[in-house]
Amino acid sequence: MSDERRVTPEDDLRVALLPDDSIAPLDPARVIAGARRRRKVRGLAAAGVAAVAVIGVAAGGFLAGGGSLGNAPQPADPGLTVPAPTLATQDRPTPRPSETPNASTPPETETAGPEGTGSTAAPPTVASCLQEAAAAGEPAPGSAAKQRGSLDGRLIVVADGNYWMACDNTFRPTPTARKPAKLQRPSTQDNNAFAVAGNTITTAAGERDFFWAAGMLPTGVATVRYSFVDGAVVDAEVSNGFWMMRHVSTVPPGAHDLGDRVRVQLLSPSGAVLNDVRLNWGTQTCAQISHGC
Amino acid sequence: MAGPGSRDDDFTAFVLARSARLVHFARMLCGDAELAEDLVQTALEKAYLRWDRIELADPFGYVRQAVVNQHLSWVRRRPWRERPSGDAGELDRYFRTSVADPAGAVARRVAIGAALATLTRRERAVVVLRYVEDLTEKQTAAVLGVAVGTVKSANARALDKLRAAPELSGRYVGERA
Repeated sequence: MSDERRVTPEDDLRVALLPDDSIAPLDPARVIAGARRRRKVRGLAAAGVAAVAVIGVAAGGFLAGGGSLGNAPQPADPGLTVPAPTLATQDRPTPRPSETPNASTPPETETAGPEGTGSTAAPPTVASCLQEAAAAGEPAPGSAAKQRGSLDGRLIVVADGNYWMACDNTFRPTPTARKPAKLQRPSTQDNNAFAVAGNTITTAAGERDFFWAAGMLPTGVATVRYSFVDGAVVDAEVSNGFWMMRHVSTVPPGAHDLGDRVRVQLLSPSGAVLNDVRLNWGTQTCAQISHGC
Repeated sequence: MAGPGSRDDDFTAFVLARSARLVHFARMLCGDAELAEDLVQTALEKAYLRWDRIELADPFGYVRQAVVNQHLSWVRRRPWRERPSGDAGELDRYFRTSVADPAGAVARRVAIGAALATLTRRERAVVVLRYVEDLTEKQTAAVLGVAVGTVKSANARALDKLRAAPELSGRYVGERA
């Protein structure tokens, strides 16, 4: 009888993938120096954003004639606010991964229409939205689909009796499509149902993260609330049993970190929190099918 | 309480001891030797800023998770350069230059690298976490933020592809029973 342990195919794969001695450790001093630069620039960025926020609130109060900072009107939807040009002078982009000392493959920014102005293309239509799904080969609403919701015309929800999907072209000439899903209300604990589509756009102030999302409203939920690393809290707009959300970050990409992810809260009509989760960066911040994922 | 010097010493020791392993993991994940170093460098920089909090927990797991997240995020930020998760040319260069072993290690690694390049990003991440990092299906699911069933199905698809890869022809991952 052989006492040789049976080697499984997976064991072979493990052996084949074993590291060898050819890789040298990274230079700790270089890592620490990079981290200190990162902290310094993040501090500057935060200070810049805070300064702009204070200026904005003060200006808002002055224009409203309220005479009190507390009366300053808040943006109806901070998610649609493209950072003011003044930000460019104070808010230096946090070093992106490509700017680290040993960077060699710069990630490309998604170019998205004229800088800081959004797309000048026609708003997405049911047909253009369905076209994106067809191009991606996804099961999607059929030709009988109708528009079921809209956020300023640039973000629309399309559905037939079986599937729904959403499209947005706020900053792109062609729509970005959210992965189609079956027409059924998700549970409040289905975190993937609240995944966002994330892209980098170029504004007058530099690169910014642009998030949008849409979905079916779970039973018992009145408010779908998103919170972002820049401090913005955005309540999704609800229409016909669907919700839609859009947000342009006021801080540069790369300012996010583990623990600073997009937060989603589902609230009942009485304000009770039915779910409170931070989206998994990467897997739940890339809900689009059109590109990038 | 440990001072900054001690903190830096601990971090330095960690980088010297574990960064090569992290770079290997990242190379397997993204298939690009230079990008892998960028991924690990960035993840370590972020870890340094939080070192006091993560040092006593599982720093390697923390940085590995950061590498995975950063990898997924970087791919997302390069929409117009989207491509299969591995570039055969880059992989080929890496695998050819990573070892100088006359006993067939180079050929084996080239074959594995080419086969990995045929996997999707998720399949590849599952394979790397399962067979490079030796994580369980549950641990792999937690790192990727997906269900265990998703890991199982992605793993099965990946192994099927690896078996079918002409470069492997049933070697290393065997034939399905």
